[in-house]
Amino acid sequence: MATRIAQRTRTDGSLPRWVFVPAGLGALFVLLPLAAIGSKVRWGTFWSLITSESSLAALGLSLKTSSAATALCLLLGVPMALVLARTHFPGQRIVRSLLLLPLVLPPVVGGIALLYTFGRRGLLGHTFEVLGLQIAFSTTAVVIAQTFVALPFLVVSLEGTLRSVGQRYEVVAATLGGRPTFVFRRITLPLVLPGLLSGAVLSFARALGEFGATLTFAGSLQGVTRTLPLEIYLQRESDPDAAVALSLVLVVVAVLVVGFAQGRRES
Amino acid sequence: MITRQHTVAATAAALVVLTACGSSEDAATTSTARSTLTVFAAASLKATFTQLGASFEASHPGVTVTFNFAGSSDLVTQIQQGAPADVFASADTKNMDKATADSLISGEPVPFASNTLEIAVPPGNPAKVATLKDIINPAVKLVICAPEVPCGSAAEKVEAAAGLAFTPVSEESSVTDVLNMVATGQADAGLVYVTDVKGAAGKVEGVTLPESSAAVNTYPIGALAGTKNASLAKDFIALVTGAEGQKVLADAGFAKP
Amino acid sequence: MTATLAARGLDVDLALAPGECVAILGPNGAGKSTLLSVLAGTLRPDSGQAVLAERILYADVPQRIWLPPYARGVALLAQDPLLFPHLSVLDNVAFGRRAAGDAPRAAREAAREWLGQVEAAEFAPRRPAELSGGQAQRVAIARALAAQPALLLLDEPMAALDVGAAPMLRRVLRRVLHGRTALIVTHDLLDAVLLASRVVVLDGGRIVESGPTQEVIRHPRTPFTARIAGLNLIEGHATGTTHLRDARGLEVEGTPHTPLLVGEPALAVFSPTVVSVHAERPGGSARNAFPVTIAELEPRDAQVRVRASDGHGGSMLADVTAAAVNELDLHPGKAVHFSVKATAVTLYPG
Repeated sequence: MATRIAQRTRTDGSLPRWVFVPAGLGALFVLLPLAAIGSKVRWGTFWSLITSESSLAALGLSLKTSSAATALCLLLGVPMALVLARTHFPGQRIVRSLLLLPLVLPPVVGGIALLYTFGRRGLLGHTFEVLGLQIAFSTTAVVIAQTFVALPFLVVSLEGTLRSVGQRYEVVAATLGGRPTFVFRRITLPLVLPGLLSGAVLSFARALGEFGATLTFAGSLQGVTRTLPLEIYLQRESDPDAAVALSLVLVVVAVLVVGFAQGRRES
Repeated sequence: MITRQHTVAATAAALVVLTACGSSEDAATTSTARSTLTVFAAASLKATFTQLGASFEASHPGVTVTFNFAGSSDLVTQIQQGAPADVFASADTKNMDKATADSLISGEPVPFASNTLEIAVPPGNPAKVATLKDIINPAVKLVICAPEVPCGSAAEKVEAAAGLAFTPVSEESSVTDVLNMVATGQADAGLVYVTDVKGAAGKVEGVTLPESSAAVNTYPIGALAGTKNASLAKDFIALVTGAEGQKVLADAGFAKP
Repeated sequence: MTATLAARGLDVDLALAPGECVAILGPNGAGKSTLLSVLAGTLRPDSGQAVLAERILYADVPQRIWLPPYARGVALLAQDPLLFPHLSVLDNVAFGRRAAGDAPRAAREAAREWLGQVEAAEFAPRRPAELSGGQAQRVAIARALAAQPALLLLDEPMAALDVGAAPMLRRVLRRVLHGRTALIVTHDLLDAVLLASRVVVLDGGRIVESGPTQEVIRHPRTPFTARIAGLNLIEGHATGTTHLRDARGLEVEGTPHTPLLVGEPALAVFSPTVVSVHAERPGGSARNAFPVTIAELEPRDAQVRVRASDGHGGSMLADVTAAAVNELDLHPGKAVHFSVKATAVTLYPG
């Protein structure tokens, strides 16, 4: 099979041939564990396991919260990327490094930080509780945790696109009489749409797989805060088959999301 | 030419993997001069077993005791996947049964301690919890373990015995997480082990639970069938079940098995 | 307008009459694009002020005012048409009107009209990527004009086009620029002649010449302008009413355009067509003779333009027939004499 693939691979001859070896190893490195999950699935019980009440609740919750988190990322991340890419202010580099921190922070640390901010005794949480706003142990907390870890993906992706697209068209649009908001709507956004979409997909995928911050900050209750990764973590304790089955579901959902986005981009 | 490069690369990769495997196996092979005893124990046994481990090393020169503290079902899964362990101490019989069912334990596991539940509250008991009935109040933020873990199944039994229905705001996968939530004030009350409350003295307060006798977790210990340190494992188990071990456990709040 | 911008060495003072088109010439780096950017609002000047149609674009006294580009009514057209790639040609042209708040249909109708004006009506439904350079530039002009600017700025609009596309663009520009206030930066004299009524020469960030096109071309005051106009220029001081001496001691005799005063700076101008090339220094009165070394030969229709250096860093042009080139065996590097009658040299105060 390898020779057949090799025969049908097209290059223009400028790629060094040895590149295929580490590339292939890298691909195997990622794909083999996925195949391993697939091989451990007990197909007989698969359907009943993933359609159980707790599984469906977890899947539904995951999709709901990830979508909400992605929407929040777009609302906050697009302006952030615009300011980082298109303005200049003192200390910008430091601010950018800090804003990208959730990328390197272990998610559990992120969860702890969120706890100290929004928790019942946290910086803001105390005020919220007095006002009657309950964030801890709520679905809102899950969305907050997911947004926190997924936001940098969108910002980085979009900032890169903004920089490469440049501002030439915006300048022209301004000389034609376009006010900043009009230009943003009709010129900037359409031009960066591909980068925006891929950033949104990345954020969604990251939010979907988020575990550590959610566990630490939001807690784990079926239908409220127990997302799919948390459900898998719990099922491991008592029913490894269910855990494996749900893991496969998560993988399939992720593949569908990424594949869908790629298809749109290519069209 | 590609094939040759491929082979070279593959060989290199294989060598890397083998050396990594090799270094971890070193720990298990025994030479008469230095031995290592690997003990897999439930997380709730951390403090007590660490102490007993030090005592064991003192009485057995040349022997190092290494521990792996984790959730009991995690440990069982690791053992099933071939993790090298000599002794396994579980937080409940359910998980030990899983191991014996897979013929992973040599002989019969021995119960060496038992643990019951207690209500933990943040210092100052802000929600004024005094009895089990208080924690079913919706205004009280209750956190318990999920039924899939030992402390959670115990909570279920307590629930049933008292004829109540808990409405927790979160069901955690480990009792440590429950404890943390109470200690930081995120939760008003949590169901944890007596030993946890004792171990976290100062950070949480305990409210005794008369109904806890309905759910007693018995801790069994056993030597692994695949152990290469059979006699050392037997010695360690003897230490745990013997006078010294039992005293250490009792001091920590464990009850007799 | 006035403007200074120390960072780019700009210091200008310029006024345009309504409906006037002025060409800006100048060597590279003279500040032409900077000037346009200051007017368009993409650059902030250090000082100065500009007023357009009773609207202050920027000022520094009595208080600092600076209008952002979208509020100025100044449209900028550059070498790169920069048509919005994601919009159709029609929507591109309609952009200005939509930005002003017009409804889509009205904007598109106006856009179609303008596309007709630039002879690009058939491209309306196409995407910019499908257009050639010349076609895209015409659409860009339509887009700029559809926005109804009070001032139109053109920055070397023909520079990126191939020779075949330029004439059509020039024709279109001539039509649409009629009666429109515009500034056009160009290297091509033909643009200045065909499109502008006035020429301004910028050098080193300062205006060094300004005047009606024909006047500046016939009587250039700077070597750069002379080169553009295809004329020979010698700068020096008057040593008599009909004589001039330049800094290197070269004596030129000519016919004064206006009376010269001895000692005042003066300029001598003569066309390449009146220059004769000789192998040896020619005799004869009333003839100026300059020893030069040929630098290059450029065929132009029936003639050959000979560019030669005078040995002091300056260059001189002579137009000769191809036959003469053969006869005299002219080639780069050869030392010859250029001579021109005094009656063919015009002298005027510099």
